[in-house]
Amino acid sequence: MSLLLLAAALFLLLLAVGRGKGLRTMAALSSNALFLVLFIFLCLKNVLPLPASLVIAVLITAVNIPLNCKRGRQRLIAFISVLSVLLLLAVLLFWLMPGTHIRSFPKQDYPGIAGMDLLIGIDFIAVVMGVVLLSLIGTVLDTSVAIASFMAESDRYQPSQTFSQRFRSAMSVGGDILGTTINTLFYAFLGGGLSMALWYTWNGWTFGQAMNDTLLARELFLLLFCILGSVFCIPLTSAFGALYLSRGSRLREEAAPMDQDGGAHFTGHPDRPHGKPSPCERSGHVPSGECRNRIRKHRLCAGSGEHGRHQPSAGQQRRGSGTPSCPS
Amino acid sequence: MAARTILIRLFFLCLPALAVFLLLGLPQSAALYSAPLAIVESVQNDKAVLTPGFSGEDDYSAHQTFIARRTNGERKGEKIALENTFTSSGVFDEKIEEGDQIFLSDDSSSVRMTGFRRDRSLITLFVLVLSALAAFGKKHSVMAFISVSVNLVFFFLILKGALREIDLMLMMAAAVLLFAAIPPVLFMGFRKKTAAALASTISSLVLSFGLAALIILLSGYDGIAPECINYSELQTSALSIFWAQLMISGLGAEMDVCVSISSSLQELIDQNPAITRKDLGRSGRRIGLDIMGTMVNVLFFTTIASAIPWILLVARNGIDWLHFYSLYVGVDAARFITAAMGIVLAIPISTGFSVRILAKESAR
Repeated sequence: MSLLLLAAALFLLLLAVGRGKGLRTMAALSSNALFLVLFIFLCLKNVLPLPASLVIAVLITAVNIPLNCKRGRQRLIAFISVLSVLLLLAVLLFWLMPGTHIRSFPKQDYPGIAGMDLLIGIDFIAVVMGVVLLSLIGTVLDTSVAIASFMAESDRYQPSQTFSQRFRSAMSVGGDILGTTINTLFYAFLGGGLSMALWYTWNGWTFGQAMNDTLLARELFLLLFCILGSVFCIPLTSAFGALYLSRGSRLREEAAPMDQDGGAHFTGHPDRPHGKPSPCERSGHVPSGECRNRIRKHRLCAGSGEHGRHQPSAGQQRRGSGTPSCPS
Repeated sequence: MAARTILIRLFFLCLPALAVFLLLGLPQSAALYSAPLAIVESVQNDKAVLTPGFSGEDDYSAHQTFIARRTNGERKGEKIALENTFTSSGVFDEKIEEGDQIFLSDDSSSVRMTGFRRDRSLITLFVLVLSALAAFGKKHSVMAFISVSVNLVFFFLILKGALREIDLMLMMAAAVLLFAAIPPVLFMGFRKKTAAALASTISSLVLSFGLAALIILLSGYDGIAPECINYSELQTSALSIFWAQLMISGLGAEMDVCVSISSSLQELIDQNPAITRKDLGRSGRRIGLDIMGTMVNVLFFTTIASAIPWILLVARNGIDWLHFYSLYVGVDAARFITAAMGIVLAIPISTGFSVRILAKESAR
């Protein structure tokens, strides 16, 4: 009942503040919850947990990316890079996890387990690997979507960049995002780890002892893996995005001026940076990708195109300086 | 600029270098631990026996005997034979492999294995993360790293305080103020936008926490079961731990939203001092909404997914887990929802504060 009320309050807030975007966030959250339940059911039906978690992670990606990215190219870049990061992390997990011996419940949980039958026929090492993968999917999505948005956005204003220009600017944006991600993750884990930390303190454990304990080892493992997921996103998304977009622009250059291959994506001319706002900007549907930091400034500048009609010179000036990361 | 980048790389590279040094040193470093350590030299697994459990699902259990050599203490080098039983599901047991390092407990009569040595795997992962940060991190990552380290120290002090029975809630409230102040100052220095970010972080935190607390108290904790976050020894203060957790979980995310909004709005003002408040407000909202979706997701997965092992265990024991969800995900779900509310509230709040504080400056 409490949780239902809390959820209702969250949904109301989302709607009040975000409207359309809030609705989409709600849809994403509900589908994510259903996917976690689906994972549980698959495990209970004796589907192998690790493949099941990979499939669920792909499904989550497929549902969340369209809900968070507006444009096709951005979606494609984000999707492919999330999948490759997931694969990479799954391999890494497979390599690192068994030696860590963190599959079983920690002994602090014994009171909750006592009396239960432990021969449940589900391989817990695979379950815990699946849990790690599912925990970090949110982080990976976050970073990847942000970088992809930046790249798509930057392409709209400077479509004739080379691969290395795109790659470098995206890497730089990724580096900025990383800082905030670390911050977010740290407090999320600190909140969960509070009771654990208190337990260790009250029982007089030293840090050395605690680090070798299943409970703390598992939390640290999870936190480090989430950060690693976010870090891996940066080069992979940048490389894939740069590859894909430079290919697009080369095509465009070759086929210009009649290329309409990309349809709505390629609304810009190579000299767009100081051109007029695109139709979608004017309609107020600023293609506000889901970006941060630099991207954000960038898009802001782009977005202010709609106000730019009132202050054209300022708008242009801003748009020009809005991509500090793109060497011109 | 280039020099600064090099400095950042160096900062992160020093740490992995230190860690690698530790890692190489560790195998010989059994002396670091006062608890007796041993390394498993050979393992002999008996045949696995089919032992169906309560749910009727096939599970196997096997007995293993292994020989371990002591690596520290007075009896270093001495070999001991130990045994272990593990199951194929491994809910509450681990399989011993050759090369594992284990802790022992020495009673006068018998020697028991008390746990695994896990520091090496963790340090390997830590080195991996740090080298990745060295390769791709920027100024923000260094700052985040520093603020995390500083905050960990404060967190440690809170734990010490809890030991002296200082009220946990009070300490947490004080710590939250500190925690909220450090990253914005590190990221942006002492500027007006820092003040805007700090004020909005704290107000969105207070507002979301207050709202959540109101709802939870009015509905009488129904469906949350805060007593379950605790390990048995701590029963007495379960509630205050629950509230402290609720307070701190969303802090990072709220800070993130507020810092982003205030620094971007400052940027906009710098670029165009004539920008109207209305335009600023609109831009602030848009920036916030862009981060909101995926950020809420980050919190969702990191807080909720860890309940899965519990649910599997409970479900296989014939307990209707959907009915008893409160015992296993109640606290985590409350934590997540409070943090998510904080993110959503931070958008209008920090836009409001930033416009008020920053626009005034530009008007002057």
